[in-house]
Amino acid sequence: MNGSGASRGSLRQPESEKRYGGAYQAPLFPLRRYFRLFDSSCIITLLLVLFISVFLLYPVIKVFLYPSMAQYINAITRPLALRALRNSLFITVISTISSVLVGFLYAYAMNYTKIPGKTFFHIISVLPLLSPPFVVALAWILLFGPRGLITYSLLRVRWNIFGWQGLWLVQTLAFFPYAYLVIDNVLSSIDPTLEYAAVNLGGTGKQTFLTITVPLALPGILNAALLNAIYILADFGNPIVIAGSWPVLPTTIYGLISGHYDVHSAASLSTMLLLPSIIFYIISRSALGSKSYVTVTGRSSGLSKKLVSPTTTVMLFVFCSLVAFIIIVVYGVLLVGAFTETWGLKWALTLRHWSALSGTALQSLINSLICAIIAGFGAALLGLMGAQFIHKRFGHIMRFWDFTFVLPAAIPGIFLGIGYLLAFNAPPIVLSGTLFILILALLVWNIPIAYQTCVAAIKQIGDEIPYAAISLGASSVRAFLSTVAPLLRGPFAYGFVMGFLRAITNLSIVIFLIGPGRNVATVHIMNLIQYAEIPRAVVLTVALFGVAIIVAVLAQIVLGIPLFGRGKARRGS
Amino acid sequence: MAMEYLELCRISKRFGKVIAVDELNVSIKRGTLVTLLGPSGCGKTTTLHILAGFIQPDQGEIYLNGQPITHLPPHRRGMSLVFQSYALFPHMTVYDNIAYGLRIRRISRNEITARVTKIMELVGLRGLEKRYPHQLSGGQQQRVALARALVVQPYVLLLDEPLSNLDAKLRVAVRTEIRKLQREINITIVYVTHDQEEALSISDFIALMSQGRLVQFGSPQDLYYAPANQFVADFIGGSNFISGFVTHCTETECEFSVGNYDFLGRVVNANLRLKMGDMVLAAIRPEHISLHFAQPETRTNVFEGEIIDTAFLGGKTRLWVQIVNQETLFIVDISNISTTSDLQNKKCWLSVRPSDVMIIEKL
Repeated sequence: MNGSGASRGSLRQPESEKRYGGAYQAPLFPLRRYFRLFDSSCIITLLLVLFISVFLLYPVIKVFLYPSMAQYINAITRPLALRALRNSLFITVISTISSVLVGFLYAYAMNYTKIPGKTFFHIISVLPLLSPPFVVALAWILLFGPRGLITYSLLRVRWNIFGWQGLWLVQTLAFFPYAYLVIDNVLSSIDPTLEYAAVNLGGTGKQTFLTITVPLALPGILNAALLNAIYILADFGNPIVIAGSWPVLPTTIYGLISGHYDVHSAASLSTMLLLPSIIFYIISRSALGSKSYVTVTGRSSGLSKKLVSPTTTVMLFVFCSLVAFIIIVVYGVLLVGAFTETWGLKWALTLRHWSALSGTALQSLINSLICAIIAGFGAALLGLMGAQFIHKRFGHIMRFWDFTFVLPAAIPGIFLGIGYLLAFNAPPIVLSGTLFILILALLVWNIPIAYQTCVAAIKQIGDEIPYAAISLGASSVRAFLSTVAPLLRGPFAYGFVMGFLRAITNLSIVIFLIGPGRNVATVHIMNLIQYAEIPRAVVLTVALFGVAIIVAVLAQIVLGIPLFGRGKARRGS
Repeated sequence: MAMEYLELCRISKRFGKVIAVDELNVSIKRGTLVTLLGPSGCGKTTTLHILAGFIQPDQGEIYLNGQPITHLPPHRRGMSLVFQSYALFPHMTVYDNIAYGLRIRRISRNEITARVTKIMELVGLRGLEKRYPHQLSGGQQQRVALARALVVQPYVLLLDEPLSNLDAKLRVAVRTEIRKLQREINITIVYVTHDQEEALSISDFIALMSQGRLVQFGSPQDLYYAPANQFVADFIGGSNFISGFVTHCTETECEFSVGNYDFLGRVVNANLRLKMGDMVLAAIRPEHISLHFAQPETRTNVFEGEIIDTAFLGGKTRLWVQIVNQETLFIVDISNISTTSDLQNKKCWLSVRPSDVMIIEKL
């Protein structure tokens, strides 16, 4: 654009060139596509590339190269590793299927029925996204554990939740919201006239569902399944709390480091964890992205979604109520647990446990908050800058850097944690034991969310709007600030809030990176659970959850953008 | 009462406080093409969706061949709808799209092949069987939608603004084709459009709607030459309106005066029952006015005015003429003017034949 911009400038009358000439010489935003050496955007681009190289690629490569070939083979062929691998694949398959099924039915009910309380159902489903990964597991222990309300107090049975069945239930509940959000989006964008057309041609409700709705939603459903598989494969919080002696890859890797400090084996297994994630991610991005049938048709038909039969509606309502009820029980149990004398034995209300919220526990909560706010903000900022300066700038080389900005979404937390552990424990860069390493790891891990929403928003804004501002006499900086920047506020806010929430609830990365006196709340809670200090764990969990919700709500109020509504508003664009 | 092939009896539908369709009665003869015409928001598409069964009317009954069908679910009505957006299934090929309704009816594979091939031939889609909708042009997509609806041999074909996504040239070509096709296979069509020209050219009958109500039902000629009221005269073809006091009248003709001008007009509405002193509204179509630059000999049906603006429209030239001693601004379409450059502010006289002064309403 710089070249043609200059020539266009020269075609103008001298008078206007004098007045607006500067603006035509160096517009800011077209630099996203056209590259001129040694201008400010070039420097920003290089800095971004440098940052990603040092804080993403370097740790990743470090993990790859750390074990020798022999150590790889040795680590992977060990019986424990094989068992963990088999278990991981097994639980990933069944939990992915169940969570996507629940998510689909939930989304289907929200789109194809007029059940009451849709807003309520939506908010309830978002709760698991706001809380640490092991919250559901913790509540399940309070209900079905050895001293559980139902298993011990009510039924007096010896059976408890620990094991793969428990993990399956917990993961289904913890991860269905991700599938729900993706599928809800897909279903709501299916043009209802297609379903009316099918009915009009003689299709019954069932035939329409099978021949039109499902095939149209299938790419979206598969996408949700792949993303959920990535989450579930990498899930560390739930299995460590509830799987007991049933090993999966993430818990085994953690055990290798915390128990034996066998970093070579841990790194080998982490690579085993990373590869399927990357493969899933690439499939979901490339293959399915282009196969999406969801099209925006210009004119709306005025027809609203074709509703399902009353019987199906009732069944779906019952189903959603059941899911919502279980989620409410999960959070209700935690709240009650935080104020109960001795869970399972003495039900008197007390504030006694809240005294635990002091000293190291309080410090860990404060550390969590600081890390998450900085990491969330940094991730949003880098995502925004990446979208502006990296996305599809020039050819194949930048295509690679574009990929590095979305890559963290496919990296299991465990892998990134070990990567940072290996990369920044020794010169040239020593960061271990500081809060800084936590912040950097969480920041890098959360860049993709902001990056992708900002890229989408910039595409949507297009080049014409800033050019319109320039043609009206605004300088390039002014044009960017007055047209593009306000439109990117939503994606930025979304990137910040989601990054913050994922950072404050993260366990799998930070567990490898905390140093003495630099603990964070999630790790502290996990330690408390492992020492069977359940009431104190519950109190800290409730406090962490409260902090997360307050910040998320405050951010929405301050930024003036609803981030958790249904539909388009959720993506803030 | 003898019933026509398709009868809409007192159909009403509200959405909240908005009355979309209000006591609508329309009778449609078998094998005719009836257009539901009206401005946007007049309830024509809602009526079509009620016919298709997507929307249940609040009251009223639809009869097909004498049988009430209002309670039937959409998939058992046998009324194929061609959607405005075509609603082609994006995950199916052209062939599968067209075969969809036949497969739903569990028709044998051989017959499906035969019928799909035949209909594709008929609408000129041969050779495109394996394409997907997004690989087709707008006109081709439109044909697929039409073929898909026709292949199931519906009792009635419903078309919802089928040409609105095509460019102007194609629109004229396709509407001629639809009309030809309709005559060939003698199918009953209910056609929704807001384009009066399209409606006039394609319909056997037009049901002109406004604000959910039927304003006039009749042949295109009826609506053009005998509009029921000001709305019809304005919507169909466009009109200049004058109002004046009746000075003398018979059943079919009427003299009235507008200021110091005298007019003789044709009473298009038999039940007006005009008498002397009534105030009447008359419509004069822009294309029925003659332009003179010298005062005509006759004084009846002549206006004196001044040209205040012109627009060259290709086949015709449109003039805006300010009438002397009147507030009225007349629109006049003249087809035999070669230049507009010297017309501005020129004094002129307008004349119109008595049969082209349509007396439509008593005020």
